[in-house]
Amino acid sequence: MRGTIFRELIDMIEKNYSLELADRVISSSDLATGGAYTAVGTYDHREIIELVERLSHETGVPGKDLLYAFGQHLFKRFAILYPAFFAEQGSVFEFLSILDCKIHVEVTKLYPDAELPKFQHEFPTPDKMIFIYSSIRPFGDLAQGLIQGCINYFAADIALTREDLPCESGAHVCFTLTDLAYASHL
Amino acid sequence: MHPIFELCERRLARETSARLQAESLLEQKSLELLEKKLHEAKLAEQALRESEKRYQLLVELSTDAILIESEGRFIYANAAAARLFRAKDPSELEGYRMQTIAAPNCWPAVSAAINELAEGKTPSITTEEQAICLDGTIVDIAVSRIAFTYRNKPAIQVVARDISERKRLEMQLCYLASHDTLTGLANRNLLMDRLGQAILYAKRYNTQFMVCFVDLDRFKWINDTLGHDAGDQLLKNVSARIADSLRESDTLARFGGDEFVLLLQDIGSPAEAQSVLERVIAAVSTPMQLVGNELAVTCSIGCSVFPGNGETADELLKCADAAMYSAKEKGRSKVQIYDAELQNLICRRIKLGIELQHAIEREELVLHYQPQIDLENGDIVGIEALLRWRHPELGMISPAEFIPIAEDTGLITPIGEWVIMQACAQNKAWQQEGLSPVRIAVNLSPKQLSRPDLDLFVSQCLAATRLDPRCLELEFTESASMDDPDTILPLMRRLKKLGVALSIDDFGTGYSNMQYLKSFPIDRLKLDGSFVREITTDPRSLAIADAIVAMSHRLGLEVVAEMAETECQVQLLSSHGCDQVQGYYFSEPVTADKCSELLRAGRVALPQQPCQLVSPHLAHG
Repeated sequence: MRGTIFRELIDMIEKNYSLELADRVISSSDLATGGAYTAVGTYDHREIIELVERLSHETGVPGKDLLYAFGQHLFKRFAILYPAFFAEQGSVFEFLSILDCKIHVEVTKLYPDAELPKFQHEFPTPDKMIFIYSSIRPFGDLAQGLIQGCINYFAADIALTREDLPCESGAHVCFTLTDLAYASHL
Repeated sequence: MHPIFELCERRLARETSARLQAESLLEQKSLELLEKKLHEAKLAEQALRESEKRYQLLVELSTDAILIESEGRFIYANAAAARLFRAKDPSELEGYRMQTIAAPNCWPAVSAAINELAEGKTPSITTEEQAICLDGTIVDIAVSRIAFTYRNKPAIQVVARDISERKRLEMQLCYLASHDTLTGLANRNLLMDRLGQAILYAKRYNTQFMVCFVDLDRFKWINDTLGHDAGDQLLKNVSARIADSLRESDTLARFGGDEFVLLLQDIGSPAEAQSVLERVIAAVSTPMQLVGNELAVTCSIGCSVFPGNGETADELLKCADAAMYSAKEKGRSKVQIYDAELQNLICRRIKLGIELQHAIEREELVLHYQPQIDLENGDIVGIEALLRWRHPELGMISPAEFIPIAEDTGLITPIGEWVIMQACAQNKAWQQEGLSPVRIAVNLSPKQLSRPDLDLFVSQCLAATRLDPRCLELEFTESASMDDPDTILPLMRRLKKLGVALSIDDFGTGYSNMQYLKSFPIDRLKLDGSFVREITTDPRSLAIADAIVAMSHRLGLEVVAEMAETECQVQLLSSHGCDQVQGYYFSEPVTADKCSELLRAGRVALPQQPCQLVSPHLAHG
């Protein structure tokens, strides 16, 4: 996993809680890296799980909620760090539609060794988007947070529901996005 | 230590560690990039070396000569260049200039090409030039030049190929396309080209030239009797003789068969042209040895003059041709210059030719009939059907004028068929009127004889008119019968099988082969009018007539004398055993109605009193 994710997680803990808590979480975690991450490096995703578990232990907030919150935080940060990806997209549906075929293609150019999740989507009706997330890592909550972050970013009136699909490892989740404002556009 | 310091220290340690990681990663990445770049450069260099090697091999092994010129000198040449320019070694060409190996006539083109390349202009496509080899020989080459950079200097690559063989073949083809293979003279194509040039020249410099059609007299006869090889040899001899009698500026062409065309350029005066033509006639008519025979050939010449007789080559040739025919009509070794009278004649021929096409449908063609009288008793035993053209504007036109036109235009076939059908129908009509059956004679044109199914047509006419075949006689001219006996004899036999009578017309004027005459299944000979006309005044004509009658009777043939106009002629013919007579003495050719009256009478009065003859020899005839 890209080092920038780790750095954003630690930044979020420091900002949302405190330097001390972040230090405690790191120090108490069993990390091969010792919690030293650089944005240009690549690290084992299990260290994120370890960090989130430690943070949950420290704060009493369930790990899935923490990952969901981290997802929303991360999306906001992406919009600041990589504005080019956001320039041409006008809506949640548009942004999510090109995620796999355009944005991840560009990411792969920058980081050829990046292991990116797969996304599939379809529109059963004009106001509904089915978005299926598949990853070798168990980050369905993080993905949900990112989608919600996207909805927040575009300030859209979209209802997001989640259905976990069976999988042996990692995550396989079906998200349904319903544009509640669609009827009013007609 | 205060916990906050400890925290800061740990945090700093993590940041330092992260920074070191990042630096290490960056260094590693930089090394990877450098290695990649070096690898790519190595590959590029290798590709370049391979490409150069490939190019070098291509150039070395190329069958085209490839040379590189830089700073005005060749600095490289391949093996093919050494072969093309007859160098011992490719390096022998190095140091030469492009101009040096170009033939002098190509220097301007080579300089222009080099200048264009120097100015950066797009090189022209492959051009054809001549080059001087190192051993001094000149070769035709196809060459292309292109500017490029060689060893950091502007250079020109020259690619050349030997096209000498192709050029030689082109020249040979060009010669064959423009010359007659038998005589080596200019052929029709080249003549037309020269005529075109002569017209342009004469227009520009206001000069005159003459086009002369030269036709050998009796060439066909020589060809047929002595064979085609002798005919070819004759044409070669004659063409060489004519060529020798011309001026340098004149052109002699073989136009086809035994026809030659002279183009006499720049004729200053009629006398000058006349002098040339006299030399031509004299050269042609000088006796020559041909397959063991001494032969004297004559020619007829027709001439047209530019300007005056035509504006185009075709017009001039047409006028010269017409003049040549007119010269032929006047006899042998004659020269005829095209003039207004001839032009009128030609115009009339053209007009008649056009109008003849509609003459049948407009019912302008009619048959007149001349009786043939039995000299034993004065009975009308035959009728000759004679074709007439009653032209609405020009009046009655002689068959002597329009039959040759019909033969030239091919109209003789439908006209000839119409005559046979009409004659059969008329004869049948007379019989149906209750008149005694007589035979009706119809002349066959030599052109009609080439029709392979003539007998079938005659049979259809007989069937259509229900005429007894014995009442139809077909007359063959002597010359047509003897010219092509291999065709005529089977035709005669087929016609004879139908039951029709056959005769040889104008007998005595052609060249009869007695072997053929003996084989022809004919019934009678028609003694030519030229003998009959002189029979009372020239004992030799009488002797011929006498001999023909005697020979005919021995062959079991009857003799009909034509053109008997006087009582004396009739009496003399009668006394010499001639069987029948036809001519103005008894009746001119008359219309069907008048002929009907003659037939009703059935016979004419024969002369009773012996005629007083002028020549003492004839009195004993």
